[in-house]
Amino acid sequence: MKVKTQMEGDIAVVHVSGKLMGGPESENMRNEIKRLIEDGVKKFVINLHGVPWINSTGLGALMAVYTSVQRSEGSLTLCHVSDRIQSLFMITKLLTIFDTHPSEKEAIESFK
Amino acid sequence: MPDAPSGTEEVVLPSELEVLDSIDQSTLKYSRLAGIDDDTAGMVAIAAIEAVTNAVLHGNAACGGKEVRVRYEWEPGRITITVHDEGKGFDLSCVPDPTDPERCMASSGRGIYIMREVMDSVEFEMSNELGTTVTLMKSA
Repeated sequence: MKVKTQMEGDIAVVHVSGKLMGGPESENMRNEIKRLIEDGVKKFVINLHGVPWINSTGLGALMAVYTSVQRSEGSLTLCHVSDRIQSLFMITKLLTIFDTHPSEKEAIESFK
Repeated sequence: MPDAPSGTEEVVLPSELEVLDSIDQSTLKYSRLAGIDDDTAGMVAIAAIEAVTNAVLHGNAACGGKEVRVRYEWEPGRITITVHDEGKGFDLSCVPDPTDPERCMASSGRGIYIMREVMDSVEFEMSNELGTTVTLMKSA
């Protein structure tokens, strides 16, 4: 799994691509968010454009990241969520937890 | 789906999460052969990925020397997927409801729930000697 971050003002846009299926694969994402929190970032967009599907373990990694951001009194939103991931959110009743947007632009604008 | 063919296919895989991509592709392929529409096939693939994730991480405890057997059986309008690991199984009555408000923020414990929500039936067979088998069935 690849993780790449770009700053849009005070918003960290974290591009995730590849397999988000828990274990060491998702450590990259968790470590990157942790580093950004330690740097004082409060606003996060995770762009899942490069992630066609996730499993429940990957879902758990997203939950862990969400919880870390919440604990730091920050906010997190997701964008480019595939239909299959959206279905998984619906099945697990997490649609009410995760704020999702169709595009990165809309996700960034949601903070303004 | 009168023209959908019937068939079976079995694969033996190492206990590695890297196999999930091939599980995804195979499940989509055989679901479509059963005449299942693309959206439903995607959901079946989600369930199959969960079953194999459980087999790798919990059943075989990600032990490289152990194997996961996956069998696909398809016929017009129906697919059955059987996933077997070498683990002793678990107590199904101890699996919590991940949608319980007290559990909804948990970072684990959603796999079996997802399988049951997606498939028409999910059956477990567990044996200390023979391992654990989960059978997933979905009709079009």
